[in-house]
Amino acid sequence: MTTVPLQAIRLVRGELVRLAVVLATAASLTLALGMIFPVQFTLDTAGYRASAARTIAAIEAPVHSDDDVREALGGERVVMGTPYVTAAYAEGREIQPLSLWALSGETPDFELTLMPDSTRAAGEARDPSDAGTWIDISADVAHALGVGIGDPIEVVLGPDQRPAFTVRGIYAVRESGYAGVAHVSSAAILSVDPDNDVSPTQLSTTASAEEVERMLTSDPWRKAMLEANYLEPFETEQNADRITRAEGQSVVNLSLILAISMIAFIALIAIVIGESVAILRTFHPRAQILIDLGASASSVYRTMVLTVCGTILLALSMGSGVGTLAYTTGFAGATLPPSLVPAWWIITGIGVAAGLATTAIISARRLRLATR
Amino acid sequence: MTRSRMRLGRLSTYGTLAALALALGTIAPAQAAVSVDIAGDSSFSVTATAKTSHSSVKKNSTRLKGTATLKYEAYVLGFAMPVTGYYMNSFPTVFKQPRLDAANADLASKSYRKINNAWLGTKQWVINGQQGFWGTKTVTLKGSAVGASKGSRYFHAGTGTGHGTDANAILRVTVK
Repeated sequence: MTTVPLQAIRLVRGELVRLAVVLATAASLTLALGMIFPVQFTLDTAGYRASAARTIAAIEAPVHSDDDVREALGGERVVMGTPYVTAAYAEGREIQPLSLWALSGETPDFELTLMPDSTRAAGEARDPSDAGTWIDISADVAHALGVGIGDPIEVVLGPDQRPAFTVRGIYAVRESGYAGVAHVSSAAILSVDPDNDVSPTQLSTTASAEEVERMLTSDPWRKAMLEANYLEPFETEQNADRITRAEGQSVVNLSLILAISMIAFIALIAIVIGESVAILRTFHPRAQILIDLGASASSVYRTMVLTVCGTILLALSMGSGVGTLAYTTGFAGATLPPSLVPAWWIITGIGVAAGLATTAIISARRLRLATR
Repeated sequence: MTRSRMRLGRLSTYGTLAALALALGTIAPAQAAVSVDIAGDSSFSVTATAKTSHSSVKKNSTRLKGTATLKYEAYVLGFAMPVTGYYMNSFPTVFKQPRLDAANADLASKSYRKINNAWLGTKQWVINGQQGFWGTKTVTLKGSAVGASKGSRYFHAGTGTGHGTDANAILRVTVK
């Protein structure tokens, strides 16, 4: 003779399988679709938000003048670079436009760039004194070229100049206006192309905008700027403004995607609640037969609650895991930014909580009716 | 719950799942691969036009006006797709830092920055940006600059890719 719990489960075995399949499918679809906006928004803004830079400005400085600039800014942290608009290639695939930054100095301060360590999606922590022909790339570049850590990438540095660099790290960031972003050292560029002009034209620093303006309007910096055809007053930009602009542009560009993301999350909760209610309503008349035959109502409903809750937990967790494939395979996005992994599982948890709460409430009501 | 209500509930669940799958199947690939497909895929196209007020100007005298126009189209089976368009225009550094006169799209910076153009192998004054759109988009960037030193270089408009493709246009301008 089978026990009451087993008999209770057998009554809705088919419904439980259906519940599991529907919830797993719903979780994978809604999370994959609903996370498009958070993923794109995070990629668009993460570099700006995580950067330690306070002020960004144009500068005309000789190669290896980082120490002079640091001293002129009262010892504030500084990183300088030469931006390139270019393209990268790997095994017949390409990405363009690519924003390539040649970072000057023997030990560049990566935390001031758009690729601070907290945005690292793959690769080891960087050694600032690494003088090799490394290249740090954004997740979009890795996705577009189909490359990983240790793979070679060819980068256009000039007419008939396409040297190869080795991927050292992959970062979940973007630079406004470019499909891809990458960093190399100016020393590496000079080692493969000694004639390339890598004198820095951009400065990122922890100094305030006022301090940077004060430096740029004093010689020899002012003279160098005027000789390079810059117009006074020299412009500086605060990182806070870059963050605001990047966030604003991302929301405007993705407003429809944002709406679809919200609809997807609402659909997940609605399906979880609807299916939980449906299976318990199906179960109720069948449970009554067991109760009429002498089974304990509380035992029957307790079994059902535990089984449905277990099914919801398992199905949503599995579906959620399957949903991440949309990003790990590059189908819906270049990568799942490290900062969004907890959010992914929190949303899964909200779905589970909604299902558990619905099941508990409906079961309690049904149990009350059954024991009256 | 009556059988008809249950059937209706199941239908709505399956309908929602089907709609989610359809939305994921159409939107996700476009979001994941915009940067690559926009210039090359036959379903996506972009054309660039460069226009200048003069082909040559006198040093420290006439202001050269340059206009970049980029037209994007992104459709799959007749349906408008959500993609991102990239655009830029650049002046040669024989001009003083150009002034941005008009732009009808988001920009990465409101002033021209000096950036190495890898294809030309030289630094240019560049302004650029990106914007998401569905289906069709026309971006116009207008700038102007005064000649600073004698020389002949290129004014460029496009997606920032190699010159000579249909997504980029260049015009030679001279400072006398």
